[in-house]
Amino acid sequence: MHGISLSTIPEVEDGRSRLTVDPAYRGMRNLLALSDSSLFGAGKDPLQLRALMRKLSARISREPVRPDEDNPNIPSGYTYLLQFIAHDLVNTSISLAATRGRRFGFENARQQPLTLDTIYGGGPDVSPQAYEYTSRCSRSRGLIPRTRLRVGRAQDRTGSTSHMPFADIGRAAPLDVADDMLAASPCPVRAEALIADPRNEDQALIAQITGLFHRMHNFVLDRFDASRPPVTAPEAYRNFICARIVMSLIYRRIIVLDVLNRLLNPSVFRHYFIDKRPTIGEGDGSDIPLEFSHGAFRCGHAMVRDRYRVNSDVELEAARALQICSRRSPGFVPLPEQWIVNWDRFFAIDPAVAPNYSRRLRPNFSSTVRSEFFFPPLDPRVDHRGDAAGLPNRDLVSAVYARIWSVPKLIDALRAKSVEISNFLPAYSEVAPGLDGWLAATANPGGISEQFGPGDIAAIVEDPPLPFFILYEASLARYDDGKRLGPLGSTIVAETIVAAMKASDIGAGGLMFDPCQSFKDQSGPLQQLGAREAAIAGIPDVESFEDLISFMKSERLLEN
Amino acid sequence: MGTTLEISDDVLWGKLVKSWATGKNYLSKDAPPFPIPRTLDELLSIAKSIGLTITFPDGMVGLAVIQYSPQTAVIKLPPKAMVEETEARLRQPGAVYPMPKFYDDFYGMRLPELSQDGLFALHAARIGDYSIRNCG
Repeated sequence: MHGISLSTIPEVEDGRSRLTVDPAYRGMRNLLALSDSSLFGAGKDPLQLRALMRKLSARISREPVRPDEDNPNIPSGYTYLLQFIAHDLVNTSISLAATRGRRFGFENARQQPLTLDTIYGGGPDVSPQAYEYTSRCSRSRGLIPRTRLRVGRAQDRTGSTSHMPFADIGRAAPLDVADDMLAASPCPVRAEALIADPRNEDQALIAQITGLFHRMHNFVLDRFDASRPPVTAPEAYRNFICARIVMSLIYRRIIVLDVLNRLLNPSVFRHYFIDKRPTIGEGDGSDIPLEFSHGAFRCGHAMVRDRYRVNSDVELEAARALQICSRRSPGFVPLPEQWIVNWDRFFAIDPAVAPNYSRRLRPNFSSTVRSEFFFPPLDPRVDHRGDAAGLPNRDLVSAVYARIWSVPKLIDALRAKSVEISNFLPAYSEVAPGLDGWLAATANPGGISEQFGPGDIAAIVEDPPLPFFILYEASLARYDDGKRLGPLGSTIVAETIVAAMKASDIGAGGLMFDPCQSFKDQSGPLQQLGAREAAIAGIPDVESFEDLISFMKSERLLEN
Repeated sequence: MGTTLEISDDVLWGKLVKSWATGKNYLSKDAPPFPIPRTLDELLSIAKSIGLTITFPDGMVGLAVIQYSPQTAVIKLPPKAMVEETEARLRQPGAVYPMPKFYDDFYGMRLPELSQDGLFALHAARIGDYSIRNCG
């Protein structure tokens, strides 16, 4: 969520004063081939555009909260599941907003999107910190790989972890190291998260989503290990690979049948996932479009609430969850017991328990994501005033530097490429009326927050930044009043996910698997990989994250 | 209104207060200073215009803004009912001192578990502190 890098490497100023297309970032692409004239902010001075984004942020901050801000279509658990999915698509921690678009060190290192790289990392040998050190591994002097994923105990109010459940990810306290903060500490500090992708402990809620995947992996692996106990390293890897394939199939099925079914415009969902129409995006599908990473998928930031009923009717401030992070503030970890999630409160599982719902998708954000403490202005020098605080401004500034499509031109290009898409994606001229009114609303010339100047509103209407437009489009009554994405946002997300899944098929040894087929129907190929039929039979054909949690509860996987 | 005072962004609120205290605009550097609110409605209107949400305890209707000089010792006495209400809460088993959470945020650690004596001592020290100490 933070979108700011701790590993940004300064690059020599390139002296560029006007926005032009840049060669592709490795692992990233534009949805369609982009020319200079089709770029967002084409030919404009990026610093002036950045100042305009600050004014737009101020307007977004003035947007009043609606009495019905809750989105009854999307419980809050999906907010963090979407963040998890984003991490599984794009692996880069460098913020283009922080680097003013300088791209040294910016690449998407995710090689196999949507195969749970984000929890498996490079596997037991490359990312051993995420895996349990077992007696089998010890007895073989490390020849038998670590194949179970780690979980860790929560802490009670006294800070004790004894007898507490394994509700957290694993965390470690480095000892005898030279780190000045750790060497001076009177007691061990759990400054290291024992997971493959450190972004998955960005806050307490995504850390617990990650923990769910770890537990489910261990359940599946245990079934394979029990039916064919591994004695040699190849046998252990065999069971591990079978477990990963099963987990990836479960995960992809949930993404399509559950997550996207909720998030996307129904016409777009039907086009790509029921009618299975081909994508029209250009380039390698395993490369992620910048219009997705720096545009459409930023919608998740608008879904974050200020408060959650985590495991009781008591509301906890979401800002507190941001502190529960080994990398940022190890003094708050492991997971405090009051933050141990009851999943019935984050997904619609038990009809007797009302879940927290995400906020509607519209240009309006919780105080948590606008917080100056957590998201201070990136650059205090812009336009002599500095950037605005908060994630909304960071997303807008990132859009300036990401070299993404201009909204009106992207809509034109998509409609020109496909008549079918033009049936559900209207021309920009049909959606734009009303945008100027929205921008002008809440204006107060004597107001104390920054106001638009002459020409600013017209400039935004002519060329709105994609992350803002995606939310504006979603908020329109003609679509679903903020309950799901509009057609442009949905098309970008669907194009990205379908292309990524196609480019990274799930398979091994020449055998391919289909997430939408049952495990029973794919038992043959799984057995060819070495899985026993009895082990496969116990794996659920879940169709939603709620199904997955219900299954895990029935197997008592969430109890200790 | 709610049962407790809640401020959605402590840093933003602090900048607003500093703006009133100094006559500068800490929110938008080149913008003019803005007036000190005289009523709760004025205060809420200003807060809303910058995206700040303030919730006052139920029944709170008045607003007093005090600016004192460096030469004057001002002792702000909290309402008797509020002091006693907090004391009652601190007597409950498992009570936690209602320290504003931004202290945790800035210090990067939680307030340690305190005995009841410790809770009451902290309560007294905090009341003493914010009743007399000048900001800055």
